[in-house]
Amino acid sequence: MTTVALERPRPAGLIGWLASTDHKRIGLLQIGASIGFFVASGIAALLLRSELAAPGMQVVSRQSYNELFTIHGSGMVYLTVTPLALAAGIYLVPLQVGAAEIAWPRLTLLGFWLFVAGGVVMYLGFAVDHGAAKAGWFATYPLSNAANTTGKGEDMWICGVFLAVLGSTIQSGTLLATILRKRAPGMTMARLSAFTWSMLVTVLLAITSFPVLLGTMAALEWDRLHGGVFDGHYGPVAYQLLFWFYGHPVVYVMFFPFVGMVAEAVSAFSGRRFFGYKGFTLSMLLFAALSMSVWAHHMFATGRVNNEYFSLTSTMLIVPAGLEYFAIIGTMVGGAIVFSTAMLFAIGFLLLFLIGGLTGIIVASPPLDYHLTDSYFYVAHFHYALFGGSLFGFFAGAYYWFPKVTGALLRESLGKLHFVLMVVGANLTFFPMLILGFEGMPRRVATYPSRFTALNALETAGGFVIALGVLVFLVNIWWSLRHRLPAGNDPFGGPTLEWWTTSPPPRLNYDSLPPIRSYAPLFDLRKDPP
Amino acid sequence: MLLASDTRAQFTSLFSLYQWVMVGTAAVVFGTVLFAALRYRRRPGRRPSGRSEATMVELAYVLILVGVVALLVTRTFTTENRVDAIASNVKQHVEVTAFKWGWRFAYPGTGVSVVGDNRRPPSLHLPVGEPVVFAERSLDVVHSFWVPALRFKRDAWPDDTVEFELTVDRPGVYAGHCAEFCGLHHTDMNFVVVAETRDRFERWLRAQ
Amino acid sequence: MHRRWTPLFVWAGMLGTFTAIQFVFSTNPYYWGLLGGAAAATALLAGYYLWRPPLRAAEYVPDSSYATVAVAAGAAIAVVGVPFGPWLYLPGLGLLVVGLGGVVHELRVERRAG
Repeated sequence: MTTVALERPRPAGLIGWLASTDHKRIGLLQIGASIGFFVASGIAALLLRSELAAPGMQVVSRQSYNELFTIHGSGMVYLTVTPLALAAGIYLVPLQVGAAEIAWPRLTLLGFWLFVAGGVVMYLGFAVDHGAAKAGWFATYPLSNAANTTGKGEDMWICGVFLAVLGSTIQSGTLLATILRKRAPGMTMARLSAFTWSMLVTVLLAITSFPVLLGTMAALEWDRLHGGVFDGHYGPVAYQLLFWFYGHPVVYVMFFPFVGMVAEAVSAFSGRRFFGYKGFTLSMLLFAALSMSVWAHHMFATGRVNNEYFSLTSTMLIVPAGLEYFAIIGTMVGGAIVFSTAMLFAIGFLLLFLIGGLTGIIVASPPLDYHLTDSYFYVAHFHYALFGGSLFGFFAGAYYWFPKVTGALLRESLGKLHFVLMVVGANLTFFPMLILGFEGMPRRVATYPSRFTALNALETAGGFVIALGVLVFLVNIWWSLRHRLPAGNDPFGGPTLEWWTTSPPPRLNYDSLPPIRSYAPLFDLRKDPP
Repeated sequence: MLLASDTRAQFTSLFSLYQWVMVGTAAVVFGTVLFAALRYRRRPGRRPSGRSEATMVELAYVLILVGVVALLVTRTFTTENRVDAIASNVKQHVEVTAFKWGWRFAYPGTGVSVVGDNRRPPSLHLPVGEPVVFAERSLDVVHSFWVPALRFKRDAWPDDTVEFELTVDRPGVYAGHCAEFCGLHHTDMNFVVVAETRDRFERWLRAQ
Repeated sequence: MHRRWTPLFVWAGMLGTFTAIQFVFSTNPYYWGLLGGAAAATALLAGYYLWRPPLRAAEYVPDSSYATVAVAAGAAIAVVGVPFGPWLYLPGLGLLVVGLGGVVHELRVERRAG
C-alpha cells in the first residue's frame, strides 16, 4: 500500500471547490453541472413538446425549432448523460477499489473544466447571428457545412462538442489508470464491484472511440473554414462512418455505468451477493466489444454500407444483454427484497430499458429499419434506452449513494412520488411515439398531419409529467439536506467497500480498510467477521 | 411467395416474426421480474439464498439466446436480399432528385417530369402491381425518400446515385416525406404517391 | 481475471475477432481501419500495463490546482478562437502556456516534498 499525504492544507470556500483536485469534489461538481445541463436540455424539450402539442406552428419559428432539437439532443448526449456517467465513476471508483485518491487528479479536474467550457460555448451559440447550431446532434454532412448552415453558432457547437468530448476522454484515461493501478491490496480485478467493472468497459469504449470524434470535429471545422475535406465523392459517407464510430459507443458509455448502478442497488436491496458475477463481467466485455462493431447500423437506409455485417453484430447484442438481465434478476431471486426508492427505480430500469433494447433489435434488421429509421419509432427506441435505462439507473444510484456522499438520507415519500411521476411520464411521452413512427411520422419535424394530433398531445402531457418528476427529485435533494436524517456509514447494508468508511468519506477516503476476500467484501465481513 | 420488391409485404412478413419474438421476450422478462419482486420480498424469517452462480442454467440460456440471434439474422438476411435486389428486366424507371426543399420525379424516355416543393408538394404517379426501378440523387444535402405505406426509405446523396426497386401492391394515394433532416423546411418536404392502373398511368403520362 | 491487463487483452482480442469477421462481408478500409485500429490501440495499452513498473513507495496528492483551471480556460479560448480568428485564439494559447507552466511548477514542488 502506498502511503499518501496531502501537499498543503486545502483552500477554503468556493475556490477550494472550483480548483479542488479531490476526486469527490470534482465528481460532485460534475454531477451538479450535468444536472444543470439536463435541466436546460429538458427545457428545450418542453418547448419542442409545446410546439408539437398541436399541428401548425404556434410556439416557435421553424429555425428556432431546429436549433432547439439540436441543442436538446446535443445537451443530453455531450453535456448531460456522458459527463454524469463519468462523474459517478470519478466519485465512486477510487472508493470502491480502496484507493485514497483518483489517478492523475489534475487531469481529472482539467476534464471537468473542459466539459463545462464546452457546454458554455455550445449554448453561447444562441447569442450570435443566425442563432445556435441547427444541424442536429450529429451534424450530418453536407448539411453542416458552411454553405448549408451559416453562422458562427454551428462553429461554436463544433468547438463546444470538441471541448466536452476532450474532457470526457481525459477523464476516461484517469479512471482507467485508477482501476488498473490504484486498487488496494486484495482487490484483484476479479473482485471489482459490478459498478467498477461497468466503469472499466465504459472507459475502454471512450478511450478507443472518442478520439475519432475529436478528429472528425476538427476535420469538420476545417471543412467549414477552408473546404476540401468531406466535399468530394464518398465524403458525406466518410463523415458518417467516422462520426458513428464514436456515435454508437457513446450511447454505451451513457448506458454501462447505470447498469452497474442498478446491479449494485439490486444486490444491496435484495440482501444478496450479486449473482452470476463471472458471466456478468464477461458479458460486459462482450457487450462493449460488440458496441464498437455495430456503428454503421445508423446508416442502413443510406444504401452505401454493408448492411449484413452491421446487422449481424447488432443482433448479436442480444447475447450479452440477456446475460446481464440473467445476473440482475438472478440476484433478486432468492433474496429478501426491500422496496426502497432505489430498488423501485432499479426495477423500473429493468422493464423500461427492455423496451429500448427490444425495439433496438427490431431496428437492427435493415428491412425493418428501412421503414422505422428516422421516424418517431426510432425516437421512442433511444428514449426508452436512455431515459428508461440510463436515467432510471441514475436515479437508482442516486437514492442508493446519496447517503454515502452527503451523510443524509433522501426522503422515501418524495422518492416514491418521484418514481411514480417518472414511470407515468416516461410511458406517456415515449410509448405513443412507437405508434406514430410506425404510422409514418418522421423525426425532426415541427408539425404533422392532423390525424397524429391526439398521440402528440398525449406525449406533450407526458413531457410535463416528467418535468414535475424532476422537480420533485430536486426538491427531495434540497429538503433532505435542509432537514437531515443522519445516515451513518452503512444505512442499507451495502456489499461494497465504500460502505466501510464514513458518510461522507474523509479527504483520503479510508482511515483503515477491511479485508477484501471477494467482490462483496462487506457482505463477507458481516457473515464471517475475522 | 411474396414479390421481392413488394416492400410492404416483405416488411409485414418479417415484422410479424420480430413482433412475436419481442412481445414474447417482454412477457417472459416482465413476468420474471414481477414474480421475483413479489415472491422474494423481505419477510420476517426469510434468509436470502447464499448461492451466487448457476453455470449450467446460464450456459443453456446462452445457447437459447444464440439460437434466437441465428433465427433473426437468417430471416433478416433473406428478406434483405429480396428487398435490396434490383431485377435487370424491369421496364419502368423513375429518376428521383431531391433538393432543398422539394422533389423532382422524371420518367426517362418520356420527357415527362414533375417538380414540387414545400409549398406545392409534387405527385409521384406510379403503375400498380409492377416493379419500378428508382435512381435517386440529391442536388445539395442528404435527403431521404420515404413512403410509409411501402415501408421503405432510401437516402438521396449529392455525390452518387443510389438505386432501388419497389412494387406498389394496391392502387391509392399515399403520403411521402423526406426522412433525413435537411434544414429549414425539412418538415414540409413532402410528396404524394399516386398508384394507379397501367392504363390510367399511361394516360396521365401522355397528358403531361 | 486476476491480472490487471487481462481484461484489456481479452477486449483487444474480441475487437480483433469482430474486425476479422468484417472481411467475410466487405474489405472497406473504413471498417477495418477504425475497428482494427481500436483493437490495436487496446492491445498496445494492455502491453503498456504489462510492462509498467509498480507504483513508488510514497505518493503525495495535490489538494487544489489553479494552474489546471488556467490550462482548461486557455485551451477552451484557443479552440473557440479557431473560427473567430487570432484575436481570440492567440490569447487562449497564451493562457494555456501560462497554465502549463503553472502545472509544471506545481509538479516540481510536489516532487521536492516527496
